[in-house]
Amino acid sequence: MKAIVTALALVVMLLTVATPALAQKEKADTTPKGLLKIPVWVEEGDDQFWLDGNRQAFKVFVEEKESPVKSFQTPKSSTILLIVFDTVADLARVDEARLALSEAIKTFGQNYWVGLLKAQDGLSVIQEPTADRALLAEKIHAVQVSGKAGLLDTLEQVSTLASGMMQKANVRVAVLYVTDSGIANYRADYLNPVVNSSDSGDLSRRFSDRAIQEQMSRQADALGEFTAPIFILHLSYRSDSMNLAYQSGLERIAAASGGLALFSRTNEDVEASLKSLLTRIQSSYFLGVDQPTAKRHAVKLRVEAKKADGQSPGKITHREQISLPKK
Amino acid sequence: MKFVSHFRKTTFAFAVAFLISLLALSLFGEKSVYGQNSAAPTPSPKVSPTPSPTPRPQQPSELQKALGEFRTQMNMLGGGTGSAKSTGKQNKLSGRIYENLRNDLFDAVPHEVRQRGGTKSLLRRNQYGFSVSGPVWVPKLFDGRGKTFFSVNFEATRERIAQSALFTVATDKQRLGDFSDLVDSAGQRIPIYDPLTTRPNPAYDPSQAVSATNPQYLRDPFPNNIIPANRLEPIAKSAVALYPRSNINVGPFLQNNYWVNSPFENRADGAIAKVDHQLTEKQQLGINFNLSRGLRKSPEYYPGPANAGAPSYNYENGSLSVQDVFTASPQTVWTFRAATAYGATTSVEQDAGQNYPQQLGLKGLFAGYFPRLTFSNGYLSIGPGTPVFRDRSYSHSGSLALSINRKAHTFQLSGLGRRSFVNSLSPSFPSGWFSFTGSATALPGVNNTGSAFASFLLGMVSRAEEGVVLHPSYYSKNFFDSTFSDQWRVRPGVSLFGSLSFEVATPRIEKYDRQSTVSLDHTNLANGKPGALIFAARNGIGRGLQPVTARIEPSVSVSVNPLNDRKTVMRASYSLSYEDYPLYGRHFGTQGFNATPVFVSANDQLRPAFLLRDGMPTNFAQPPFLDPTAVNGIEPDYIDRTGLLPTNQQWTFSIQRELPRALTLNVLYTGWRGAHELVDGFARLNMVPVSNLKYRDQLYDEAFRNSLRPFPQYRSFDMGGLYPVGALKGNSMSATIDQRLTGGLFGRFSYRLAKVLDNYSSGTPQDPDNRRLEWSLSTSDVTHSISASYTYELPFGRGKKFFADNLFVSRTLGGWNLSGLTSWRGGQPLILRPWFNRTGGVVGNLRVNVVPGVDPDVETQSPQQWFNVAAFAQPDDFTLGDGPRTHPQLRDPGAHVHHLSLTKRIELNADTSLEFVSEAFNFLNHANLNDPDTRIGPESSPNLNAGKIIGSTGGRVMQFGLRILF
Repeated sequence: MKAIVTALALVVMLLTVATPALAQKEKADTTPKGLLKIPVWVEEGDDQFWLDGNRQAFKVFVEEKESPVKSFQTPKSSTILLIVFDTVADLARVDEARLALSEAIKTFGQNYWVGLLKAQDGLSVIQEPTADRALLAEKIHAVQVSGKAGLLDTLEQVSTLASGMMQKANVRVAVLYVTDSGIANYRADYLNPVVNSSDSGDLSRRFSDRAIQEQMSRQADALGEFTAPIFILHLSYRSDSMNLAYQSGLERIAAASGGLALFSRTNEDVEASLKSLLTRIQSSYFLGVDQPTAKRHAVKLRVEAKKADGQSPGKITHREQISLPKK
Repeated sequence: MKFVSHFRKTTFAFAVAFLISLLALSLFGEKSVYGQNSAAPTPSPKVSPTPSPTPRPQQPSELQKALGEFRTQMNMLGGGTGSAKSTGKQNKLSGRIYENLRNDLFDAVPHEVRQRGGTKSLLRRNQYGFSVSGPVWVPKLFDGRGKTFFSVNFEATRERIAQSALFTVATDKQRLGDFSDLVDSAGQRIPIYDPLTTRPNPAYDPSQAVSATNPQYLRDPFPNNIIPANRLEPIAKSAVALYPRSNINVGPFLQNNYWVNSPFENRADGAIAKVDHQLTEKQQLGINFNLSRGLRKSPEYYPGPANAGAPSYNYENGSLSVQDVFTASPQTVWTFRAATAYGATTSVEQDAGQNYPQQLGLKGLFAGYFPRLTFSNGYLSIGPGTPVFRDRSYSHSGSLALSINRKAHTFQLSGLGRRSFVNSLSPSFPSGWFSFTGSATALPGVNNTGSAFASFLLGMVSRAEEGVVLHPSYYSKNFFDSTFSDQWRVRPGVSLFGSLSFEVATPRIEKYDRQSTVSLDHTNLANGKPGALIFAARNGIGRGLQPVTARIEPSVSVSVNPLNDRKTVMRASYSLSYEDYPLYGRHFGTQGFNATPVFVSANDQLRPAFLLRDGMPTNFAQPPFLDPTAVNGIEPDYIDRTGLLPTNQQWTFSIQRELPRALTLNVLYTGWRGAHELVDGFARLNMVPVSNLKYRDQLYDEAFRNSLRPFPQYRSFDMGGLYPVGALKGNSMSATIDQRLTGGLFGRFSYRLAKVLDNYSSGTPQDPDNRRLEWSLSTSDVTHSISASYTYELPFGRGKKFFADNLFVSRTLGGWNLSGLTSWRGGQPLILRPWFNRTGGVVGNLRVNVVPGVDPDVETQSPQQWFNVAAFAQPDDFTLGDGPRTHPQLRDPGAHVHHLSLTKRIELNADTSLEFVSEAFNFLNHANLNDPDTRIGPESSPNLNAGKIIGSTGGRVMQFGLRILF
C-alpha cells in the first residue's frame, strides 16, 4: 500500500510541477475591450417576443445610472450562433437533436452564420461559422455520441471565444450547448466517489450533491465577466439528486449569462425545446454601452423598454449583473 | 494461496498490458487524433471561409470580422491552427485535497451513554485524501495532452471510536453458585434443582398437564438456591474467571447489569485510479483501478481471550477494468468491457499458538481457539462466535454491446459473461459451541424453574456442535446474459421501450468436487427411508448439485406526453427478472468432506448431552467420510435442487409535471411481487408437524420426537439461507417535489406511502406446514416516510443579490452555503413473543395469544406504556399462539434525524479556492427511542417490562472539514 501511495504522490507531484507551464499556454485574453454588450429579450407571451424595438425604446442603467446605448442590434442583425455538442450517452435523443437541428437551421435567414464545435474530450471545431446550410446539416448528422462529457470544461473557452467575437465585430453572438451528459459522464470525479467502501463511519459523503453544487457555483462565478449568452439544450433530464444538482447548476450558469437552459424529458421533447431556444436566440436585442469604469467587483444592470406609445412591450429579461475583469 | 496468486497474476497481466498500451500510444497515438480520421471535421486554417455564405450585402465585413476573431481565438486556445483541438481545462490539473476531522470534544454525549452515567464517548477520526485529474504528460517521454487523461483519488481514515452495549451477566453471587438472588421478570424467585436427584414422581397423574403441582419427575431444590462449592465444574470456574462482573444496575431485577462502552479502531486506505485515452476520433480506451485495504479492530465486550465479541479482521478489495468504446458511425456504437474484481476478509488471530481448551481442561477439541459457551437465559456469552475466518472472492467478466440507431428505433444488443470464485476457510465453532439451558436445573416440565448459568456451573451441556474443516473450499460459478432491446419512437408524444434478456446461470461447483447434499430422492441405507447424502461428481451426480438454469427476462416501458403537453410526462413500466445462483462462502454443503457433529441430550429435561468434564465427544464419523449415511442423526445441509430462483416482478406508473417557480412534481406508484425468495429458518424442513403437540412432555424425548419427523434419520435441515420458498408483495406511492435553484434555494421534498407483506421476514414459522398463516406485514414495512434535502446560498457577494460589487464584503459574507437533510421514518411492525416456549422443541417461533375484546393500543403512547400488554397472553404449554406473526397495528417508535452543514468557500485565485465545512449530524441532538419490550409473560409471572421502552440512542456529532479545490 505504501508503495502505491508513494507512487501516486510522485505522479501527482510530477504533474503538478509540469502542468502550470502547460496551462499558461492556453490562457486567452479574456479582457473585453470597447463596449459592453447586453443581450436583452422582450417577451410578449410564451415564446412570443417583441421584435420591432428600436434604439430609442431601450434604456440601460448601470448601477442604477443611465448609460447611453451606443450600439444597437436587433433580431434582424447579423448573428453568429455557436452550437457546441456534448453528446456522450443517449444515441436516440442525440439523433432526435441532430434531426431537429438540421431542420431548424434551414429556416435561419442568410444573416445567420452557424459554427459547430464539440466539447467531448476538449473543445474542437467541427465547422467554422458559415451560412452553408447543406454543409452544416451534413456535419450535424455526423456528430458522434462518444467520449467524456466536456460542457463544464469548455464553458470558459467558449465564452471567451463568443465574447471576443462580440467585441471585435458588430454581430450578435450566442452559444447553444446541445448535451445529454449526466454528472457521471465527466472525467473528473464530481460525484466524490466512495474510496474505502468498508469505512462505515464515513459521514463526509452524507451531503452527496454538495461537491457538485460547489463546482457549479464556482463555474457560474467564473463566467461572470463574459458577455455572450449561453443556452443549453439538455437532451436527457435525470431526476436523481446528483444530476438534479448538476442540472440546476446548468440553469444557473445559463441564466447568469442571460441565456436559458431547457431539459427534455422525452424524445419528443427535444424538438420542442430546441425550437423554443432558437426562437429566443433569434429574438434578442444587443445593447452596447460604455464599459463601466467604476472600481467595482461587479456592476448591476437594468434595462427598460417602452413602445412608442409609452406602453410596456412585455417582460424584459437580461443578465442582472456582470463581473468586471480584474485589473 | 493459489487464488491470491491467480488474482495477482491477473492484475499483473493487466498492469503489463496497460504499460504496453501506454507505450504504444506514445509511439502511435499522436497521429490518430486527426490524421487518420477522415470523419474528423477539422478544416484547415488556410482554407478560406466556406464558399456558400451569402450574407446580407451591408454586413459581410462584420461576419467576416467575427470569423477572423473566431480563428484567432481558436489559434490561441489550441495553440496552433484555427481548427485545432483545444482541451482547455482538461489540460490543467484539477482536483481537491481534504481533511475531515471528528473529535468527541465537539460532540454531545450520546443518549445511550448518558443514560448509563457515562460522560464521554471516545471519538477520534481523521479522514484525509486528495483527488486529482488531468492530462498524462511526461516531458520528453509522453505527451497525452488532449488525448490521454488520468484521475486519481486517494483517501485514508484513522479512527478510534467507542461503541456501547448493555448486557446481562451473572451476578457476583451467581458466579459462585449462589442463586439466591435469581428472580423472574416479575421479581419472583426462580428455584434451581439438583439434577442428580432426578426421579419419577410416583404421584404423577398422566391425565393432567405437567405442572408444579403435578410434576412428572421430582428433583430436590438446592438448599437456599445455592450450589455447593464442591459441585461446581472446574472448567466452568476457569471460564467464569475470564467473564466480566456486573458494573451497573439498569434492571429490572438484576437484568441489564453490564454496560460497556468499548473503544475500537478502524484503519482504511484506498485509491481509485482511472486513465482514458482517445485512440482515434472514433475509439476511446478507459482503464479503471481501485484498491482499498484496512483493519477493523472490533470492540471488545470484555478483555481477554474469552471476549464474546466479533474478532478483528483485515479486509482488502480491488478491481481492474478496461473499456473500449468504438463509435463506428454517428448511428452505431460498440462498447467492450473486461473487468476483474477481488475481495478478501481475514480474521486477526491475536492468540495464535495458544491452546485455550487445554488451558480450561476441555477435552475432545481439535483447535486451540477459545470455545463458545452460550446461555439460553440471555446472559452474555463466553468466547468468540467465529474466532477465525478467511474468505476471498474474485470474479472476471467480459461484455460486448452494440447500439444502433435506425430511424425511429434504437436497438441494443449486448452479451455478458462472468466467472466468479469464492475461496473459504472459515469453520464454524472450530473449538466447539456449548449451549446451556435451564432444563438441567429445572423441575422437569415446569416453567420458571432452573437457570442456564446454574446448569453451566454444573457442567451440564444441553447441546454442542463443532466444526471440523479439513480443507479450504474453492467454489466457482458462471453467468451469461444476452439482451436485445429497442427504443421505439412510435409517434410524436409516445415512446416505447422493450427488452428481452436471455440468462444462463450455472450452479456452484467446487474445484475438487468436495460438495454434498441430502437428496430426498435417494434411499437411506440405515432405515430404508427417503433421504441420503449424495456427493458431487460421484455416482452419476453432476459437479454442480443444482441444474443449470436458463431464463428469459422481459421488460417494457412506455412514456407519453399527454395532449402533447411538454410539461407533463406519464410513464409506465413492467419487468420480470430472476436472480442468479448466489455464490456463498463458508462450508455449507460439504458434509462428508468436512464434519459438523452435533450432540444433543436424549431428553433435555432429564439429562445433559454430556458433561463438560468429559469433553466434546469424539465418537462421530471423522471426515472424510463419503457415505450416504454420514449425516444420519445430525442436522444435514440441504441444497435445493429444483433450480427455482427468486423471481421478481415490478410495475410502475409515474406522472412528472413541471410546475411554476422552478418546481417539478413527480408522483410514482410502484408495485412489486417476489416469489421463490431464498430463506433459511422459514423453511425448516424436517420439522415435527405441529399436530404432534398432543404428545406434550413426551416430545422432550429426543428419540420419540425424531421418530415424528418426515425424515426421522435426521434432525432439522440446515437450508443455508438458500431455500426458494419465500414470497413478498409490496405497493408504494411516492410524491417528490424538486426545487431547482431559485433565489439561492435548492432542494427536494419526498413523501412515501408503502405497504409490504411477506411470509418469511421474521424467521422460523410457527407452523412450517401452513405457510399461509405466515403471510403478514413484513418486518421492514414502513407506512409513512418523509425526507427533505435543501441548500440555501446566502445572498451575499459575487453573483448574488447583495454586496455583489464590494470586494471585501463579497469575500467575507459571500460563498456561504447552508445545507440540510431531514428524514423521518414511521415505525415498523412489532413482533410479539411469549416469555416461555414449552412446545417440546417442535415450534421455533411461538406467537402470543390475542385476548379478545382488548384494544392493543393505548390512549397516550409513552415509553412507560407503548402498547396495552393486557391485549396479549402467553399460550398454554404445547399449544400454538393465535396472534399474528407481525402485529398489524402496533409499531416501533420509528426514527427521525436532522443534519446540517455550513460551508464557506474562499476564492484564492481564479483556479483555486478554499472550502471550510462544518457539519452537524443529528444537530438537534434528538434521541430516538429504542424498541419496546415485546415479550409477554404468563399471568403467574408476567414480564413487568413488557410494553415499555428502556432508553434511547443518538447524539449530535460534529465534523469539520477543510478542502483546497484547484
